[in-house]
Amino acid sequence: MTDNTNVFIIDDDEAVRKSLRMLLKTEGYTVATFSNAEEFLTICNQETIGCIILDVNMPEMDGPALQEEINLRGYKLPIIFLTGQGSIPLTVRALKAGAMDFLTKPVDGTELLACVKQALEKCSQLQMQEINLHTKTLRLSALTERENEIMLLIVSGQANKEIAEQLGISFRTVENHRAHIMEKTGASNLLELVAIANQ
Amino acid sequence: MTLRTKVHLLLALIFSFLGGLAFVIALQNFEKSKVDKQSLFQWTARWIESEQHRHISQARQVYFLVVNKIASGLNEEVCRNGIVGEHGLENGFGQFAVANPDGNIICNSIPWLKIDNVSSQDYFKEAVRLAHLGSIAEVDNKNPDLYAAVMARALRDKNGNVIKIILVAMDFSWVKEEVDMANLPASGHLLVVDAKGTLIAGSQNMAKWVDKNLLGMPFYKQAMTDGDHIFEGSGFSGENSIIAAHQFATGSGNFLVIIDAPKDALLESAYSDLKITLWISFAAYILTLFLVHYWSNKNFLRRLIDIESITRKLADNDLTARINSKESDELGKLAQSFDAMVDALEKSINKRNQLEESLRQSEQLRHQREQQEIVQTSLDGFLVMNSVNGQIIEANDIYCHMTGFSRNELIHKNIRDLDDLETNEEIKSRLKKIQEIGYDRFETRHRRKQGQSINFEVSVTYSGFNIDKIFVFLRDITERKRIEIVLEKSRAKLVTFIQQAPVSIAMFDRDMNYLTVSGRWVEKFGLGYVNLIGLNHYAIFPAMMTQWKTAHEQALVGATVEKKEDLWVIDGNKLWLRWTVLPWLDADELIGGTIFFVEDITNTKMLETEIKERRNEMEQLQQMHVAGQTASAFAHEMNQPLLAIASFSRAALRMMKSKNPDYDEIAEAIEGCEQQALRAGRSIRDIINFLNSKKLPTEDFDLNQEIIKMIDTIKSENNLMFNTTLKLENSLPFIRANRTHVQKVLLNLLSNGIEAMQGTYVSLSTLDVTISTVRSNGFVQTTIHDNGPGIQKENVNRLFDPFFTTKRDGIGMGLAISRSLIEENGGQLWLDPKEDFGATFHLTLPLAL
Repeated sequence: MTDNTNVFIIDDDEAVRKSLRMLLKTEGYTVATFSNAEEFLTICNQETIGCIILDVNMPEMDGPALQEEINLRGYKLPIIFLTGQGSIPLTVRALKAGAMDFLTKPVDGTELLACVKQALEKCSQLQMQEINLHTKTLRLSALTERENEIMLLIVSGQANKEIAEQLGISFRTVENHRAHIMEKTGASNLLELVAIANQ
Repeated sequence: MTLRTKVHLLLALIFSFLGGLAFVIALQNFEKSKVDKQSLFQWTARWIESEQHRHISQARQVYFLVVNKIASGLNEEVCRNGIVGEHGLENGFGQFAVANPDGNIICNSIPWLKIDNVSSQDYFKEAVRLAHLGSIAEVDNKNPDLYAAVMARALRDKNGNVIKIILVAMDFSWVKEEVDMANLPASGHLLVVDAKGTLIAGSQNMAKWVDKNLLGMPFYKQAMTDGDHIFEGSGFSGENSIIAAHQFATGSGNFLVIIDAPKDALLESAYSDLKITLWISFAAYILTLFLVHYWSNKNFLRRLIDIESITRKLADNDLTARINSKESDELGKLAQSFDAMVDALEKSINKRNQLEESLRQSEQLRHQREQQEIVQTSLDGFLVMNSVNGQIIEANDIYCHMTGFSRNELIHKNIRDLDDLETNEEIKSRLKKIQEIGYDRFETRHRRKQGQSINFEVSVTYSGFNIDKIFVFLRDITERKRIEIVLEKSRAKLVTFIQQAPVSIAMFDRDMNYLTVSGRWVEKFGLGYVNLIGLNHYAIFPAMMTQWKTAHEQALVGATVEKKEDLWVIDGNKLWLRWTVLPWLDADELIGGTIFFVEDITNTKMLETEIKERRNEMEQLQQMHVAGQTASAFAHEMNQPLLAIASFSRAALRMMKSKNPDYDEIAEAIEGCEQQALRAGRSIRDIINFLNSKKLPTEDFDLNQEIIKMIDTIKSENNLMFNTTLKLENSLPFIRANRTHVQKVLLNLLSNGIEAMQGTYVSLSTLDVTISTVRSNGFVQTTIHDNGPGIQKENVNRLFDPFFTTKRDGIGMGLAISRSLIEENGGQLWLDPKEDFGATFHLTLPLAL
């Protein structure tokens, strides 16, 4: 997670790109600049991490269109929008689509740096969640068919005795299965099991 | 006149004179008995006054002598003792004194002191004053109780300065005691009483009453009250006295004269005198009448009657009658000369009759010849016919020519054969009518020889019963008839056209009575009348505007008047009308009345207003859009470099604050700042150049005209009534500017005032806008002043700033744009800072070269 310092600047104005890069570099970020959205999309993939500073008004594909594309592809990259004039409908639309922030030009440098910092933290968070989810999914897939069946009954809140009667097996067998399920999923108690099952 | 006659006349004269005289004397006697008392008063008064005057003038002469004497030989001793030695001064009326020039008495005679406080009296002072002026001054004291006078004379030195004044006082009170009563009548009761009631004189009967007081007597009281009056009452003559009283004033005071006499005695004596004289005069009259009658009947009256009857015959044109008197007296001579006069008269009348007869004959001949000439040369046809049977007696060439008949053919015809229109019965009754009235005038149709007929206007005169002829003048009116028919047809067409026309039209005669109207007119302006024809327009619309009446009058003298927009109130509804009034011509090319077209443009007008409002809204929206777009473009152009500058500078700052600053990079950042700032500057210039890239088209025009037009536009577009005062300089030279710009600015400034008014409680009708133009220094300066709420002090400085507005929905560009437009045209626009009531704007625009 320590290498999550990537900032991608997408703006059609060269001076803007150059000045922002200088500013961000002073904070020690890794900065990559692009003069249009398409260029950025060619280097970007599922594994890319960092945050985007995006100009709203651009020829060809504009800011909101790029945001849509990124969401569509499922990239977890927070976006900070820059705009010449803040129009409320545009802002609302962008924020609803998951934009981190919407800043009006000219932007206070301090404010921008704070925003970038927040965006990178968000990015890290998203990455963590992704990894957790991935691990838990793997654990559930290790359960046998019978174990899975019993786990669902446990999660729905039935006691061992009730499960035994329902499945026509002995109380002892249910207890064995339950011990296996707890071991395989890594859940230490019933509540954790419920959380894992719900995912 | 015979001797006998003369004697008779003389006797009659004498008798009548005697009778009259007797009567007059009797009347006079009677009057006298009444008048005596009155004259007695007057006589008494005059007598008393003259007696006094005699005494007073004697006294004055004495004084005059005294004064002169004193003046010539005066010494103090004489003064003191009061003794002059002459004219009885020592007897008590020698009252004299010597005074200083200022009137202070130095010395005086002893009797002087008898005059009560004389030197303080006004007449004394007046005498001293007059003495200074002249030689001898005399001043009367007007006090009736003290009848006195002062004489004064000034003594002067060589140089004429007054040294002393000599004064002599005169007391006339003694005069009344000197009145001599001896001349009063001896009988009757006559009294002279003074104002205090003391009897001071009387007739001898009254001797015992002298010096007695009469105040207690009743008749005295009444006489004092009534003044000049005659009344009945109890007096000295007894119970039934007739009392006469007369008041008079003399120099000695007021007096009263009273006379009384017994009533019965007075009247009786007067009546007996009258009776006798009446009888004498009556007898004298009877005698006179008898004598006159006898004489006149015998010598005078009979012959006068003869003359009178002959004169009567003369008056009845009987010239044969004569008096044939042989008498040689005056009356006989008169009769003979009368006969001679009648002879001469008879002769001259016969001669004149002969002359008149010959004159009449020649006149008749001339008249006939003239008539014939008129008839033959007339342009009209002419016929003479028998008034009884209608037989043609004479026809002129013109008539022959018009009808194709020869004269001889016509003379054998009857009017019945010629008239093509009227029946025999009609002709008969017409002839009868002509005989009765003496003339006629009508239209008819006569046959021609070829069969066609001809229209005539006929005028007829009847000669009179003794000649029994009818003179007929006939004028060919075929052409006129034809024109009339054509006209009638075309008028009928016009009427139908108007009635059916799908617009509001009305045709009026000269007095604005409806001749015909279209159905649409009746519907719109009929006010519920079904048939307007014949009605008067002003009777239907009594409150018709004077403006329209003027238009109507103009149309009647040939003008066409139209109004493109006019607001009328008909039946309580407001209508916008477009109307035209024009004259129509009758057959004689004269203006027969007016035609009135009216078009109801209320809907169009309302639509126009709505369109105008929409257009204004659109324009405003567009303006705002353009302003927004411009601002947006401008913002974009600015934001990019600004963002870059902000970021570069923040980066530079941060780098400088770091532990190991990289100066190359810092320099690069600062350089970036500079470049971006320059870039922003370029952008601004580009935008301005772009906006100014269009060259301003200008023209030369009259600013005054433009102002007048703008006011009309505002008034008509907004239906606003506000007062405008124009003080435009005469013959203002043209200005050079963009006309649209100037219009926009004028509109803006004028509208501002009106809109400001609309926002206040002040009604628009009290809004006054004054616009003046004046030429100054190559410019025209226009001043627009309104009496609206004015500009608030805190707003004055920001007034021309863009986006500054006090209006609810204004965008605050009006005055900013106005100022920039005027500046673009080379002029200036500013607010008058001095004005504290209302707002005043000045703007200048350059004159055309």
